[in-house]
Amino acid sequence: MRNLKQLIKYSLVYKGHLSIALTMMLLQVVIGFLIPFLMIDIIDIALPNGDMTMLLTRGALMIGIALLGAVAGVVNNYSSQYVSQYATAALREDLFSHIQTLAFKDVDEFKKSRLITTATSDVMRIQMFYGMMLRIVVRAPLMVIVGLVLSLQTSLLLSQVFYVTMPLLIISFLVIMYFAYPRFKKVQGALDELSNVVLENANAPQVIKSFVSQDYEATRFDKVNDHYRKVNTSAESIVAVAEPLIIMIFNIGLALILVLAGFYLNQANPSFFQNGLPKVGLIMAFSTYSQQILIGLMMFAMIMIFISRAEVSASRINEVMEKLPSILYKEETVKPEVKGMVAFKKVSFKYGESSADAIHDISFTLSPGESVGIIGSTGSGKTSLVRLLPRLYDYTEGSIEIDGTDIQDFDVPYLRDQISFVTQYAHIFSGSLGTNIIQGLEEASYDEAYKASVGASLNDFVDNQEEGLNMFVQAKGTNLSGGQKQRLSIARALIKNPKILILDDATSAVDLTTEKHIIESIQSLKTKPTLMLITQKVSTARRLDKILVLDNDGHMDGFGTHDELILSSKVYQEIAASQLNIGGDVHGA
Amino acid sequence: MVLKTKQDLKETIRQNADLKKAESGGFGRRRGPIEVKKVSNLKGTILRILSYLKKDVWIIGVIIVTIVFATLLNTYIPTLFSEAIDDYIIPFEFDGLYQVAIIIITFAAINSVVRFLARFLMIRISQKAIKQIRTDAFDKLMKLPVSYFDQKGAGDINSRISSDVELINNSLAQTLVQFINTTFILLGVSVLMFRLNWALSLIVVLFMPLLFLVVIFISKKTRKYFKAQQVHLASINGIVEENVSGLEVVKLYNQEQAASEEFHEENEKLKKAAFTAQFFSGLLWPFIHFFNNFIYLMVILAGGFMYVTFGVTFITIGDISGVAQYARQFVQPISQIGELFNALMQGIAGAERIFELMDEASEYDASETNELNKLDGEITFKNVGFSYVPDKPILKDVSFNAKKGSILAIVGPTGGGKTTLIKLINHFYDLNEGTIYLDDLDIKTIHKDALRKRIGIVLQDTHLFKGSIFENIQYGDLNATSEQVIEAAKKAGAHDFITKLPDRYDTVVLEGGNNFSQGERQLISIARTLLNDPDLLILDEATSSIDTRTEAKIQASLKTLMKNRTSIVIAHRLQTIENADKIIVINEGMLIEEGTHETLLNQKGFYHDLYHSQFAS
Repeated sequence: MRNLKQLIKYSLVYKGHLSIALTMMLLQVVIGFLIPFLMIDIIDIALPNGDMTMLLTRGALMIGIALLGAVAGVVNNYSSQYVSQYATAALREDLFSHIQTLAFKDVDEFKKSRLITTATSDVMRIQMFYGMMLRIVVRAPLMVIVGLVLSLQTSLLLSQVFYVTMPLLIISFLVIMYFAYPRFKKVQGALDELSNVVLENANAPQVIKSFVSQDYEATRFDKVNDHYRKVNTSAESIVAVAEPLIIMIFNIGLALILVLAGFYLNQANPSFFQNGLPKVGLIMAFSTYSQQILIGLMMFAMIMIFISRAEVSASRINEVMEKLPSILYKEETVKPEVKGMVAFKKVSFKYGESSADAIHDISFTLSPGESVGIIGSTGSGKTSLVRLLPRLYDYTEGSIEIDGTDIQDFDVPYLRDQISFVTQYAHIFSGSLGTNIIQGLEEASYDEAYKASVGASLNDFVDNQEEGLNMFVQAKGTNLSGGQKQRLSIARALIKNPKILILDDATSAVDLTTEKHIIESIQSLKTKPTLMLITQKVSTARRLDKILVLDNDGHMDGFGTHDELILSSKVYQEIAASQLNIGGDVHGA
Repeated sequence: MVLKTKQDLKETIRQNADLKKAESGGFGRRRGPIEVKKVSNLKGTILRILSYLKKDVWIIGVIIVTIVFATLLNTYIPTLFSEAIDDYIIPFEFDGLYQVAIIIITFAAINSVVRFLARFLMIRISQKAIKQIRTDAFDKLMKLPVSYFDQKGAGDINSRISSDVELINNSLAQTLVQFINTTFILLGVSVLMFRLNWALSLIVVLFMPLLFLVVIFISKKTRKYFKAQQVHLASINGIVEENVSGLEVVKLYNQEQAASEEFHEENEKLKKAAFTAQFFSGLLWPFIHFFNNFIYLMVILAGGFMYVTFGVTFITIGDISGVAQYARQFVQPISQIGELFNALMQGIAGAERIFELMDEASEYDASETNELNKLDGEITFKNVGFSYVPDKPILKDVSFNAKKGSILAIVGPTGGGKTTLIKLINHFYDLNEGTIYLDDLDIKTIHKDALRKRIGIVLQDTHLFKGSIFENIQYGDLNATSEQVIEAAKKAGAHDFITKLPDRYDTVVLEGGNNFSQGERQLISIARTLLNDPDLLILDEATSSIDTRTEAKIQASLKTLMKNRTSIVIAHRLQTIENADKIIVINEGMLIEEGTHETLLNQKGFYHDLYHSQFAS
């Protein structure tokens, strides 16, 4: 409950609507009891006496009250829906903004898929909670309390029936919840397993078909499918006990009221008589109250099951909200003019406290406009190295300077404005080719965006589209090929004329001729950016001014030109030998 | 030209939404709650769902009988209560009263036990039916062509098999029992009510159509607004997904502000749409409460009037109380009809989506009769033409031949059609024109499973399954012993890194293999193919992300693998090309040059230029 309590604050903002909703609900509850209460006199006084005036006035009054109850219900509905929708929207927005402030390390910890489900389905469950809170969570205890007060007031003696029905109901629900809760948890897990198998198959039809393993997959699916059936059957069976049990307790209550009434009438208890006649109306009203109380309790119990689920969602939301971004920005920052000089000074970095250095003791300097190819084995720390520059992660030791200023002293948005970084995986957003490109420079015109597409060798593709740069792009760029996505993300990087350009193996799906074009167009930009390019290919790296070689453990094995490194760096020699066939080809071809 | 903003685009998209959805899965691919679609073939779908219950038809009979029995028992209880008031309390005969109490409790107990039994049975058979639907759907999925997966996307397929089927479950378990329940409550209550006092009962019945109409009206309105809400919900989920998965780019390009604005705008729309939808659906309850009270009062007033006017002979106080109680019982089931209707419609919408999958054309057809055991592996393309979408040809008139045991390298620029070409050999897609021969057999006539068993394929996108490394390699041959698996890993050069892991071959591969580097994933996938021991090997040179030193090791083992096998390689590396027996150059869907490395270089054509731009400086 701790977590839900914290999220309630979003609804507390709407004090006006909140108090209207609560008042109206109270009114509804009271009216729900008032009607049977007013009826007592009709049956016990008006009817036996044949008092038509009393019958009609009381009747009109009661219909008026019922109408008032309906109005209260509509107003309550309006206000409570208002609060729940507006509070949810605010919560969702806060959560979204907060996720955006998180550092990369934090996102890694949570995992992206988890953040997405939290911001979508967990928030939805909280919305349901807000809605229920105002309409049911508060109402149920109100119904019980008001009902009890009225019952006791109507007949203290008949109220003894609650000694039996209430504990029965409470115990039943505790027992049902005790058995149901763990079973529903299992159901959730079983469903995850099931959809995991489906997803794996749906994602890799070519692999399955190639290995002709359809039968094997069908067996695998059958296993999770049957498991899900069993778990679900057992969970639902528990819940199926609930309804018959409640009806049973209802009816026991009804029978007990008769017995009690009979017992006290038999004893000639004066509170059961009116003018010598038994108070039938009182008995009828009492049986209505007792039902209302039981309904209240039942609602309450049903909701407890829901609340325990909502609490899980709330705790997941709070976990994200309470996570402070692990990269903190300094209060006083600078925005110096940037020419593009990059200096790494004895830089080391590791992802976690206990993990080993991803890169270790790296030092090198690039002057403005200079280009460097970064080369090394898989897992040698190439990507880690370039990620430090725009502060996606912060270095653990040493320092990194741009034009003599430590990057940690920079204003972060300003720092990132100076750098264009093209990631290994080309993230494409739904919209058009154009909207993706101008993420690099918001105010860009069509012509500027087109120019960037030329630089990224995407213009041939753009020209082939009826709508040019306005071609519709699906979420994640599913209607583009791998090479097109990469070139699109390069265009996004080029449009802002960055002082520093980082390409993290961003041309892997592009053929070598195109790659060559792209690099040439970067080199011929009006203001030539400092270029850091991660690549696997010696043929690409050697086109650049310098090459930085990393060994398997993130140490620098060499920094220099191709001709220097081929003599001095053992790692480079090996890489070159494997790609350029044999030593003889290295210098010539 | 002018750049359209995201807002403009959304407008156009919304206008074309239905069209796009039909064409490509468009926005439907976004994972989000299921839209309540228009149900097209209501009767057919319902019958088809029911056909899954055929085996258990006698259980359904039992359920119906028990529910009817329980419902009638339960409706009789208020009668007992009011009779007790009239017959025992008013005339002061209390012994009978205790008897009635005991009868009420007995009835209630029988009712509850029987009711539980019916529910329990219903859960069992509906879960069984659901399982069968899922099994059928999955079996069908295994038979669907690759193009189906391309079109729908994994998210959509998953939501069909997991959540849509769940909707059928909800609606089966709920509606059937509820429907019978409701019908017999209404019937039973009417009979008992009229038996108590027909005149008073008539008043209750007269008001019912009004209630019914209002419930239907509100439900209809609600559905309309809910649809609007779902659209905005799907859209906001899309924005979240996109911005979280592309968080690098958002941060690197300082897009936080822009993303927040887009989010805010859509969030506002969702808020308003959701508010309208929820407000309308919430109207039902105050109305029903009011109606409940209203009917109750009408009965008391009218009853009181009759009592005063006509006296005890016409109506008793117990009668009034009884009819009033029954009136309440009447309102409840009718108010549930709206909910029942919604659940039913949702279940049917879910069923339609899953049946749609099950009705797709499977890729296997009867004419594929040729079984084959061992291939020589000679492959011939004759005038092959292919396109994914009509009028956008990917391959045009491609003809070539690869001799048994030779290495054929395919080169050419990105997007030229190389990957498509190799997918055709596996018969993942049907040709539009021409024929592919394997050992003189038209592959169209070969059973697809038999064909694919003989062909090993390593694609650029490596796909690993959740499970251990061992299981992933064993996938190549499910009957392989652990020695064979390790042997294959050694040949692929994967053994070294695997043995460095703490759990070695038992190390768990997470979904999508994300806990391994791309290079490691490719090593595992190569080991898997090695174990498969195919006659024909297809490589979409899956070496781009393996570092060059590891690659040298693989090249050596691939060499052994390719020995005596026909190999078709989409080549990016010089070494591969030089070792090839034949090179074909594919550009813009056409085969433009063919020959060995030497002859092609001497031609000074496209290959010559390509070679010099790529491998020479």
